Amino acid sequence: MKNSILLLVVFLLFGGSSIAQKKTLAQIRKERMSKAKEKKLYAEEVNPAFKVTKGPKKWEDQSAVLLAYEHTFKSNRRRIGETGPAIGGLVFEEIIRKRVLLQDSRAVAMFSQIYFSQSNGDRYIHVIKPDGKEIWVDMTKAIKVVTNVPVYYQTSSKSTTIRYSKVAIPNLEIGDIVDYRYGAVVMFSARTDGCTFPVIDFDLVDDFPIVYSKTIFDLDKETYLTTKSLNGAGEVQELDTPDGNKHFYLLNNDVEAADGERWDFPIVEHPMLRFQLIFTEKKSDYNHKASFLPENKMSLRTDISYLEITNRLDTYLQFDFPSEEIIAYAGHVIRLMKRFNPSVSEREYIRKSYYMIRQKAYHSVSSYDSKFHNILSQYKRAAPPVNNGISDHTFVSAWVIIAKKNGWDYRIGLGVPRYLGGIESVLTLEDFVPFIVINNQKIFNCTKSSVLDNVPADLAGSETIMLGIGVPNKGSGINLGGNYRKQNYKFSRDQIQDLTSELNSYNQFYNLTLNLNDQTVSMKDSVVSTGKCKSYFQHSVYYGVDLWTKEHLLTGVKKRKKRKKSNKSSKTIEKERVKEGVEKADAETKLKYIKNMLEYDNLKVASVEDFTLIQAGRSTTSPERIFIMDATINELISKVGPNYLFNIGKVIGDQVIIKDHEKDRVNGVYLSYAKAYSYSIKFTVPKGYVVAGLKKLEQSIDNPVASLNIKVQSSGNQVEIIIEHKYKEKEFLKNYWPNMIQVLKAVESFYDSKVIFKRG
Amino acid sequence: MFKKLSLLIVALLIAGTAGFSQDEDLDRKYFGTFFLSPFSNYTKGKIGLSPEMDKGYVAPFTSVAFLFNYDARYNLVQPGDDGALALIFSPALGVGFTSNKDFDFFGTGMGQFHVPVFLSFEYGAGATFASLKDRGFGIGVGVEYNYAPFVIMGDEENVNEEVVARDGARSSLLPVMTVSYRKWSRGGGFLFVHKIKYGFLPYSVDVGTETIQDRVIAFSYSLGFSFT
Repeated sequence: MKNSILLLVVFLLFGGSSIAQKKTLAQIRKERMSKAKEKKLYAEEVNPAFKVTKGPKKWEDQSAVLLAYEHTFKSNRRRIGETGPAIGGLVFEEIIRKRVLLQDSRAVAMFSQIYFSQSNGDRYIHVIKPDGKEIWVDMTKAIKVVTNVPVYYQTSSKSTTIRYSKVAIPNLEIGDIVDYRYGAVVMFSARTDGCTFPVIDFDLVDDFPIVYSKTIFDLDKETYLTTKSLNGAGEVQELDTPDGNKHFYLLNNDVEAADGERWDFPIVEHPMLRFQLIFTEKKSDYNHKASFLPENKMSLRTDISYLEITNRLDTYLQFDFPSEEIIAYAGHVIRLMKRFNPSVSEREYIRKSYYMIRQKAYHSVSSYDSKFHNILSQYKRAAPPVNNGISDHTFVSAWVIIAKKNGWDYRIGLGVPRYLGGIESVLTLEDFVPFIVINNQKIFNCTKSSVLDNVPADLAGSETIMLGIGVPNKGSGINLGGNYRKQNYKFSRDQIQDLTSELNSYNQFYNLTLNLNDQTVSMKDSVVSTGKCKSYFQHSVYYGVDLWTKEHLLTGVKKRKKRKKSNKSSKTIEKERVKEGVEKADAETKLKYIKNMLEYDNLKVASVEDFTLIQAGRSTTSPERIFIMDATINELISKVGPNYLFNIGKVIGDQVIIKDHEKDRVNGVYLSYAKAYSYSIKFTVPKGYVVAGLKKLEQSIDNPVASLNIKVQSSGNQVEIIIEHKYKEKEFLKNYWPNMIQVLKAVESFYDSKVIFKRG
Repeated sequence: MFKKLSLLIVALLIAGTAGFSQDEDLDRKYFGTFFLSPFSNYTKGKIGLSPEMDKGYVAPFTSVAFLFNYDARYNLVQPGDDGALALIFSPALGVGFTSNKDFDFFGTGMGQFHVPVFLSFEYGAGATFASLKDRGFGIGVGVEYNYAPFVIMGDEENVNEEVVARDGARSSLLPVMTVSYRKWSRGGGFLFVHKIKYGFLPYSVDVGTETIQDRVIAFSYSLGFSFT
């Protein structure tokens, strides 16, 4: 009997260890159920568009064709106890289905690895071979991915709760059809007054042309939909169904590809559906400041009038109930200004107020501290500070308070960001960028290094709505509702000043010492930049140093002087020693940041010896940013036999490289802003050598959208190469794209160019 | 008897490991389920007779215990995705109370051991590795050997009596049947199993001139989950 029991124990142990290496019953069942569900889902498809196996002849030269594409947005109310948020709420689901015919090796490579979101079980990848053979991809072989999910596979909802996996599709060939479907689920807890989803800019254009495209909305009856169809996207249709829920769809067939074009503003040119879902239990309770519910008895709305916009503005911009934060901002500025500069001109007051707010904008005001200098001391550190910033609305509201307190005329502007194209694309009030106009001066929200006259790049040249005329209302204190009552709104349309390339310039002067023996280049360079070309990074590393002295000139706020002690105690000496150590470490860290920045520009940096910020460029009177830098660079010089090659083009850092597939373009070109670069590279030809290849560097191209002018000047063994490169227009039609390519290719060619030092 | 039974079980289970090593998951035939019976069992043993009949007998032990039970099931035949004819070896070990009315106090002993073997028909969830059903059940018949209590506590007099009664009163072999109900958890991560086992065996003993009729009983309700 003892033997028998021993055998049993051995069996159980052995059995247990074998099981541990195998899949569990639950895993096997899940996998089998998932596969059964995949096949059922695929088999249940009745839409004939998803049975098509051939693409149109007109798109035979394309990498791939989307034979059919369906994108579904669903919302389902969940009550407590049902699957979904623990306290009830809304489950938002997005399902993507594509049937792709692969027509070249690029498409085969792209779809040989498909990413999909994990949070929905209704998914499959199915490959149909040209001979009709069907292959189901084993989704259980997928691996989770955290970063670098290609935008192509990302859902429109950018919730951070959506997790992705990727799976390899083996043995794909040209002519195969990949039919895949996946989805994502996001849960939202209930709120009595409603839950407003972020606006989704749903691009109806794909990287590949689409034969059949359908966008579907299956919404719970308490979910409302507001849409804007742009650029010929067609109108959303409502289906009358008896199930009590709301069903809409948008059909788009024969859509040309956009192929992920560089410098593209999809909302401006692509067929696009901008939409917003709003969930509210009781429509009458809904009181969101920025978004628009459909009118009564309507499930869907597609237009928003100016009147509606203004009806919401007073609550949206918080004029009636300025928050503690806004009062803190404005009150602080007013108090300090009056304390330190009791008699300044209005213009000067505005200027100083702006810089005061800019200072405050660097950190959160929620923990408002009247000891201003204590807060600012946080910035005296090596790493670039985090910009918590100040919201546009808070900024504008604070200015309204300041204007009211001082009895100034003011107007409020609502800028339409360039990426939206125009006012017609606006879907919610949050699309606007509000700003204030005082004394005909437009004042925009501040960034770390913005100056008062700055026009934000995304508003430059764009359309705006100017609202009302501010009439001083001194009696109303901080309750600002009076001026902006609905009936007092007066509209006018305006345009914000554009930024020309002259306003955004980057000028770099290199003085190089070539060391052929070490094959290193010692670089002493100085940079003068203006407008949007001011390097944020270099500046931010250094701007915190002695901030008070610099900011004093702008704001007039002086630091309280500490009384000097005659005799230093041992404690003070120790403190100073520690401080000195910290400062030294800070200085090293700063140089390390600069080195990283240079390396990011594809330079092999041996060391950065010095960096000095001469002028921060943060004030109206001195808007240029100037710095000098000394560094030693490796790998620019290489020995070839008795001669040396010098990669002179690489000195100016990485340049835009246009790939072959980018040559043809469907859409217009939209750069951030027009800008001008100029470089001067000076070096002395090493003794005993002559330089060859200099003349080949010279180029001169000038066309309506861009220019490049490279000149070489030499005198004795002194050489200077002057490069002037300009992006003249911030946006232009695709007809001019070849002009742009011409210049970019020329810059690329310079970047790859070399000169030779031969024994003389 | 017990020795032969054990050898049979071992032989069958070792045969089961042959299927166990196959690569094809769906062909796997071995299933393991771990059960707990939180004092939801009742065992009644046989009357214990003293070797010297004139000294009488000891009343049967009755036990309620916290049982730990492991079901080792081997599917002998799997005619489809959802059905199987299986052999189940279901040893259970318990800690709890055993009482005997002849003794002076409650808690006469503690610990017990059950070894039932069933021939069972299984259907639905968890019947085979291939089944996709949400729910399943099993019904089986077999025999059980049980032994209780492991330890007898009591005063000196009773211990003497126990010593006399040990072999006859503490072990039983009886026919049992079992019914089980299986259900997958909502997410499909766990297979929960509810199991009822019941068996009894009437017997009669002659004590002196008296004939006593009684029955051996084994009942348990267990809740378990599969970790196969």
